[in-house]
Amino acid sequence: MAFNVINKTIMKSLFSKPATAMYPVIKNEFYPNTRGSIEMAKIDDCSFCGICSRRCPATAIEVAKTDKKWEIDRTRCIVCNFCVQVCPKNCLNTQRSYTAPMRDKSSKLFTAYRPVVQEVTSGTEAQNNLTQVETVEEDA
Amino acid sequence: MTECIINPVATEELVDRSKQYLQNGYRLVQICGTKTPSEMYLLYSFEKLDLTLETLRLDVQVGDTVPSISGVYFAAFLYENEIHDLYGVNVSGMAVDFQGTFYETAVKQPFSVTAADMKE
Amino acid sequence: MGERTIIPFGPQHPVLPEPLHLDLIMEDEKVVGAVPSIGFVHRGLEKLVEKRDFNEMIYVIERICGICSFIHGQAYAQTLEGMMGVDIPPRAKYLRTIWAELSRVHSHLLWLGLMADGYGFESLFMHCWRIREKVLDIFEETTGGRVIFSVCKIGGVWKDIDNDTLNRIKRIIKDIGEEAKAVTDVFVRDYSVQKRTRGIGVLTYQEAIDLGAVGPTLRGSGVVEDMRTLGYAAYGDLNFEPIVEKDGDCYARTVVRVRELYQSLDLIRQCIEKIPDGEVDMKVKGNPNGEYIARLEQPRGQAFYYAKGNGTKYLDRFRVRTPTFANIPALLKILPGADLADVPVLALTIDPCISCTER
Repeated sequence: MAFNVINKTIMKSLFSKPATAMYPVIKNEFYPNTRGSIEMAKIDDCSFCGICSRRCPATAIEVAKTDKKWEIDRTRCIVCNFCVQVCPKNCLNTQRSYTAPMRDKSSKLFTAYRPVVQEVTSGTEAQNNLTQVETVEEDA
Repeated sequence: MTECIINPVATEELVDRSKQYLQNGYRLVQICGTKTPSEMYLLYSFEKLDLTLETLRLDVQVGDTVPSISGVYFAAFLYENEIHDLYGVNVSGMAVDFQGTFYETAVKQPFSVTAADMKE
Repeated sequence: MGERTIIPFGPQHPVLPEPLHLDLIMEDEKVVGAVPSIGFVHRGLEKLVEKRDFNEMIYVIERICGICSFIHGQAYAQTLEGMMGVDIPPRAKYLRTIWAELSRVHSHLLWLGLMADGYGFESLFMHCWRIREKVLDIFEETTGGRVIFSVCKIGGVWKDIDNDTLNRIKRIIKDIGEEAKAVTDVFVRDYSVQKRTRGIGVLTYQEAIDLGAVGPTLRGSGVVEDMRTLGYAAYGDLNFEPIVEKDGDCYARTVVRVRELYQSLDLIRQCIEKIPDGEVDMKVKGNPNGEYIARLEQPRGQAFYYAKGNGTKYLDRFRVRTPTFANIPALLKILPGADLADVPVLALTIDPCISCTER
């Protein structure tokens, strides 16, 4: 039977620095392996086979072969990493940072389009025919 | 593996087999239900303290009545209420009978229909 | 004969981690009976086997519970590997054992904190969880997530841990053991803690066996039963004994969990010293067909898994029977005779994990 056994821990924590960090002044550092959010790293290599879309347990990815569009709904994604691992061309990647909080669902989609490069015969035609890669960023 | 062996049993002998298991020193592990498009059965598992496991299989249909073994093993009343609420199999003589309010789901007896049945 | 009243306990209660409802039948200050009521987090996850094929289903099974998440995933992989007749490489077995024992350490530290909160000792609760942060950092570094790991697959594991990281984990484990000593001493030796736990909620040897209790609830009453002695994963090569205490009250169950904490730290050290080299996964072809039963040791007790496949890529059935489901009759037995102020301590002493119980 001992009294106040907790005193030893209390003394130690009185004279040491706090165990918590002053967030948001000091931000957390993530590890290389941290699964934060999924991004399409190399849209040029993507063959739009749709394996990632069929394998997703949360049905968060949408792939359109005709429009050459790859889209992920970040609010449905559970960051399980399965799409990254089954992609045959290794074009998906896991970022370390988490999806930022958003006020409404209007910016939940992250879309990537494949750039279309055609045979050009003149400079102006090249300007007209080149489709830019469009990405819709979330609101900060 | 010896622990994966499943023996069939009939509805009439269920309570007698459970009493035999109790006398031989077995405890109840779990009772579960399975419904596939072609068959439906309940599994009763018993184990001893030296970790030997035996399982009995009872073939049923939705709406059948099976006798309760909670007179032999008190802990069975939880599993039997769950089977009644999810699969629609009636169990007569449970030690504590929740009468359908154990799990309150929006659709009654959700597991008694499989997705393959619903497509037809 | 006093007048009887009924007091509802839960589902929202400051000491409960998850919603559990008990209707307590009271005479003045003493409890004479209790009726449980669960089903508040029933999500019907077992029905998703019809819609998700057997490779994706592991991500659903992991998310049954946040505290015991890794061992559910490991058990799913182990059950399907048994059904398909696959033997995974030894390095994968050792890695799974390391993560499973780390899971046990973090779960017991979480429970110790909640127990301290149950009798009002909040600063002890915070100290336990401060030590637990180190374990969560190890998880994030090796698997990518703090709570849900997504690292098991049928045929092995997705990620490897290299030897430098393993040696660093060995040092961190030693630090955790030393820091935890000062905190677990309070649970074991302090006078006021013992006043709240000794002699409360006694479960005798024969009652524990008859009611089907599992885990530390059973081992605190003197019954020797631990699923890890079956020898699955790498436990066949490791050296350990199940931990048993004789008294059967709340104090005995606390001591069992504290000793299991140190035993797990020692098991991790043994694994790191014995881990063989090699690859960590193998290719698995074909679809599951047949039935298989597996039993694993969760931090809360014995968990039972049954899988049935029919040759297509969707399983027919995957049944999970979690330890808390088997401990609820034991809870109903120890409640009568207790004071109303002891009910939170008794509800926490069986380590309720209700989201596992009603998947």
